[in-house]
Amino acid sequence: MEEDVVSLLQIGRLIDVQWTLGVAVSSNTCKNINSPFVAMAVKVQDSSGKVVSKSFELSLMEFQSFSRQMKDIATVLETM
Amino acid sequence: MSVVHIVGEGGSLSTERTSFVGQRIPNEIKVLPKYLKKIDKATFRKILQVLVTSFEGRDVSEHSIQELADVITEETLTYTVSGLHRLLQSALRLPHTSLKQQDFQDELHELSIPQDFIPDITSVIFGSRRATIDNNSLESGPRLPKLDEFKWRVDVAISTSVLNRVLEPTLLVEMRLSNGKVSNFEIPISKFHDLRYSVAEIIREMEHLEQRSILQIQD
Amino acid sequence: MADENKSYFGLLNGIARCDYYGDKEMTDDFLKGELYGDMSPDDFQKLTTRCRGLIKSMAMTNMDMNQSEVFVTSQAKKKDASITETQVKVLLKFWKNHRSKIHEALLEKCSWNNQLKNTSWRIDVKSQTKTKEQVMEPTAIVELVFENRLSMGKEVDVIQFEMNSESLRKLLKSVHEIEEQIEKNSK
Repeated sequence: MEEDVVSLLQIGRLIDVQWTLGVAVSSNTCKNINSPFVAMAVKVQDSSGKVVSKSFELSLMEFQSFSRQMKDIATVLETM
Repeated sequence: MSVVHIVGEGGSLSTERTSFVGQRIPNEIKVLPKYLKKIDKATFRKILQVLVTSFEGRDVSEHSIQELADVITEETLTYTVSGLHRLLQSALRLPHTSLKQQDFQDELHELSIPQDFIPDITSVIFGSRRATIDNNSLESGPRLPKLDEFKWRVDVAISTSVLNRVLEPTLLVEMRLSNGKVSNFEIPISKFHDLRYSVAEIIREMEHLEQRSILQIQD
Repeated sequence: MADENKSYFGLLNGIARCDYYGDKEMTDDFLKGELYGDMSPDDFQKLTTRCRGLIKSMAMTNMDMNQSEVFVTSQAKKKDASITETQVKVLLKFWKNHRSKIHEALLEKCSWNNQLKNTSWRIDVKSQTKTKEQVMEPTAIVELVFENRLSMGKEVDVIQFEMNSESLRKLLKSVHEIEEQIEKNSK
C-alpha cells in the first residue's frame, strides 16, 4: 500500500460501479474468440469533489479473484 | 498560360500572353532589376544558391547569409532576395508542361532581368535540381496523418448493471495513425451501417474518378 | 526424412514464437541458419509463407483438433499443395501443442482496455467525532493498479478509494449480480 497517502481525508470515495458482462466474439485477428469478460467502470470522488472515472476489463478468472478479495474485505469488516 | 499570336496587317508578329508572374507584375519583381544591376555575377550566384537550398527544404547556414551581408548593403540584399524568391516561386508553381523554356527566358528579358543572369535563373527552373525542389514542395504542402493500423473487435453484451438481458453486439475499433496517435472507440451498430454505406459510396466515387481522365489532365 | 521433419517442426515452433509470443529473436534469418542452411533463400521464403498461412488459418478460426485435421489433410491433397503428406503429421502435432497458447496470445491482442494488474487493501478504523461521541467506523481502503494493455506496461494508472460497510455492501451486490449472470450463461 502506498504510504504516500498522507491522510485518510484525502482518499476518494467510491461513488459508483457499473458493469457489463460480455463476450468478445470476433476480431480482425481471430474470427471466433468467444471469450467472456467483465467490463467495469468505477467512479471515485476525491475530497475536493472531483470525480475520476476508470474503466477496465477482467477475464472471468480475474473477476473471480477480484470478487474474492472484495468478499475478504467484507468478512474482515464484519468481524470488527 | 495561353499564347495567342496576332498577325497584324503589316505582317509583324505580336504575342499576347499572361506572364508567369501573373496578370499584374508584383512589386518585388518590378523593383528587382534595379537592385540586380548593383550586384556582380558571383554574388548573384550565391544569392541564387541560398534560395535554391531553401526551396529544396534544407537549412541555410548563417555563414552564407553573413557572406552576402559583407559584400552588399542590407537594402540590396533584402530586395534582391525577396524579388528573386517571388520570381522563382511563380515559375516553380507552374507544371513543367505549361511553361516553355524559351518563353520563360523571353519573359525574364521583358521583366528587365539582366541578360547575364538569365541562364542561371533558367537552370533553376529547368535544370537538374528541379526534381528535388518539386519533391520538397509536395512534402511541405498541408498533409494529414495516415492510417497505419486498423483493428476491430465485436463484443456481445450479455448483461449489465442496468440491464439484465442485453444481447446486443458492440463494435470496438482501434486506429493507429502515422503521427503516433492511437484512437480507441466504440461504434454503435446503427452508425456502423452508416459507415459501411459511406465507404461503399467512396469506393464508387473513386472508381468513377479513375475512369474519367480527370487525373490524367495534361496542358 | 526424420531430420526434415525435425526441421519443419522447429520452423513451426520458431514462427509461433516470433509471430504470436513476441520473441523477436526468432527472425527468419535466424531460423533459416539454424534449420535450413542448405535451402535457397527463395525456397525458404516460400516455405515460411506457406507455414504462416496454414498457422494463421487455423488460429483465425481457433480450429480444434478435428477441424485442423480435416483442414490440413485437404490442403495437402490440393494440386499446388502448401504442405506435403509427411509434414501433415508434424503440423498437427505442432497445433496440438500450441493451439491454446496461440489463442491466448491472440486474446491478449484483442483486449485494449485497462487491465486490473493489482488489488491491495487494508482496513482502517476511522474515529469520527459526532456530537461529543467518538464513533469508531471501520473503513476499507482499496488501491487498484491498472495497466493499459496497449502501452505494453508503460502506462500505469492507480486509483484509491475508501469504502464503509454500506458502500462495500453495494459493491458486493454488483459482484453477486455478475456472478449470477455468469452462472446463468455458463450452461
